[in-house]
Amino acid sequence: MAPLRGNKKKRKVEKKDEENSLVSGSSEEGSVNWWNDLSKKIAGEPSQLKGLDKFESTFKMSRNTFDYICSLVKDHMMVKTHFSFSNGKPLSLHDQVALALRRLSSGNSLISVGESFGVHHSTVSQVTWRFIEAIEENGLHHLRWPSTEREITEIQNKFEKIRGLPNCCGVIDTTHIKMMLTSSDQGAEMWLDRKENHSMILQVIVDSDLRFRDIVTGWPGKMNEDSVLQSSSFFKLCQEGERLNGKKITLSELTEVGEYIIGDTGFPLLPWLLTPYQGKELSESKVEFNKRLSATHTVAKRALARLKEGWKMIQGDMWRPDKHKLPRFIFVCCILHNIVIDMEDEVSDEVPSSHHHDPGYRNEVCEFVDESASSFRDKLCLHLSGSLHS
Amino acid sequence: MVCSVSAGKSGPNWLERLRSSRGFPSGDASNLENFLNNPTSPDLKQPDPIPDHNPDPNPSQNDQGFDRIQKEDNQLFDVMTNVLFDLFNYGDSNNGNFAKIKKPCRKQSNPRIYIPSNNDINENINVHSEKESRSDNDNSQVAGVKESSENLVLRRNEEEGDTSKGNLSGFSLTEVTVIDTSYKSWKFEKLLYRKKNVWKVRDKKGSSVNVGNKKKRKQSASFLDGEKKQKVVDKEASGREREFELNEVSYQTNKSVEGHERALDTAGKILKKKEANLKSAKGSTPVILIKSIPPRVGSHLGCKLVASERLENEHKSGACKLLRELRNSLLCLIFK
Repeated sequence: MAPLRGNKKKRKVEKKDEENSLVSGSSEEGSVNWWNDLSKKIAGEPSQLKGLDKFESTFKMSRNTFDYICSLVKDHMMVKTHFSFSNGKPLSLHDQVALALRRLSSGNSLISVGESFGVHHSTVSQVTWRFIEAIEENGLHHLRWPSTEREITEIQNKFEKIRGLPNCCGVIDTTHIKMMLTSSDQGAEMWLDRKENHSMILQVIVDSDLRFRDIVTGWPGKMNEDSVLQSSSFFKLCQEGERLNGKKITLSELTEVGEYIIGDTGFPLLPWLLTPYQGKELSESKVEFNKRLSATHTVAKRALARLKEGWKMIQGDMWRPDKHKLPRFIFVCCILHNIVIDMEDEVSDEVPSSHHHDPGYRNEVCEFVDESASSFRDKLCLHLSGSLHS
Repeated sequence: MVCSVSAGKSGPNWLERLRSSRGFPSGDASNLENFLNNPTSPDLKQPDPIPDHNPDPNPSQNDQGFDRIQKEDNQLFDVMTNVLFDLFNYGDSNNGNFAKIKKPCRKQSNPRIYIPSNNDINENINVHSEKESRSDNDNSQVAGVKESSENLVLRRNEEEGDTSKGNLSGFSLTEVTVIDTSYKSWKFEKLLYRKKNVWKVRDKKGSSVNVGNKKKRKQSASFLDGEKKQKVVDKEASGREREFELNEVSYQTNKSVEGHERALDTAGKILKKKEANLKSAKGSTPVILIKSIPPRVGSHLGCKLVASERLENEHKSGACKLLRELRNSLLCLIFK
């Protein structure tokens, strides 16, 4: 049932004054009051009662970012809203956003989050889903492949600063979003990954600022990295020369380097996807090349670790989730991850406690080597080793 | 029987109505006898089945024979008319059986199937047998058409099923929602078929509909290289939807050699299984489909139709045969 446009506009106008008076950035006092009221409702967390500075630790974002998210989802979430606290008081926009963010960031159960906010658990579920839809609708521009040359160049420069890889545009990696399924779940075996966990695959391409630039999710954990890659639009676009087709840089008279991304050993070696050398007895230059790749690839691991740490709903083992909705939860968490980075929160500068986003999972191995890509990798390796010795 | 019963119940009125409709004056039974015994009466000619049921190839000869009889002896003519009357009434010339006269008359009033000129009994019998067989053939043809049309529909359905599902017997199906942000419509619903290490991905909406609108594009042949295959199918219907088909995707491998060997084994098994599936699909499905569902209904109908037509034909042929035998015996008697 699509809401009527007219109602949406009416509701928007009606709510505008209320929001401005309570919690918008223009009313600092109102914001403080709103947070104080809400923080008092959050049971079991006495540290939240100390003040606004604890806001960030609760929601993993600054108040400024929170307000921006409220503005993003306002139109969608305030249409025909009927949500209320257990005491009958209606949930404001900020209450709803706080509730949804709390659900996503804490990973606690619906009942637990509902009790902490003083709402029924069904309200937590409905508000969170409405928030998901709102972010999907209005926050998609925070997760996109760089469209301008300036953006690309900036990313390339930042990657080169890490370990000297020229013209690198991103890092690709996958992680498993674990689920708790039972034998009664239809097709549960399909979701069983190589570690005997039920999981859903998330493939990400990350830029130098830990920002997700492309994601693919929804595939069952039984699929491996390169099959997920092959099924992606990114793969198709790159194979057809419609992506990573920017300007080439000249390393020497005979060596040109086009745009590429880097991956671990689970991905195939392609002209636009560089992977480490495999084998035991590698030359010094190849070992050094692998170190450079590995160090640069850490960006993706950090990004995924921070994603799971910041949005614990997709970190823990979810109990029999709706497998059609879970990809959308993951997607929105990735968008929120990017929003926090885009808003330049100080929170985003915090280093995640660990780079292990997928504990217990070792790197996969893909044997495929494209001949031209192999030649390109050798030239780049030689170039980097030359510059190393020079 | 029906006619006799109805005549018994409403005899006079029915006769009067019949007479008036035929242009005869209404009268009693003695007049009827006169009419029946009068060779010039149109009433006798009208129900006479012989000219209709025994088309004579040489009517002129018969006419000459009759003329001679009329000229020579009126008694012979009476015999003939009596025989004819007996033929018509199955040997009984009573007035009470007049209704029985009308019954075969009405049934044989449109004997078109006997019009073909056949001189002797054998030919007539042959014609009858041909006709009978033709009617059988017609029925069988009708049944055949039914069957073939049903088969066509079945085959079409089967082909559609094959093209849409691509011979996915033995595959387990899982519906997945996939998010891919490199595409404008970033959310897709896919059908994921899996049999051991073989994966097939189909678009949920486009798999059974718009098969003809698909443009298949093979890509990255060098990358696939016998170990992995992917077909990317672009669809133009309803926006730009895509369909991926991962025909063969090897299972995750942690060790390269192991993975390579496993992939090779997988490829071999897949080929064998595909062949087996093809064979089974070719051999079994049409037979089962044809034998099982639709022909059952059609065959029952066909049997009923054939049975009723055969009864009618047998009835006609029996009467016809009797008439022909009597006619021949009569002619023999006359010419002797």
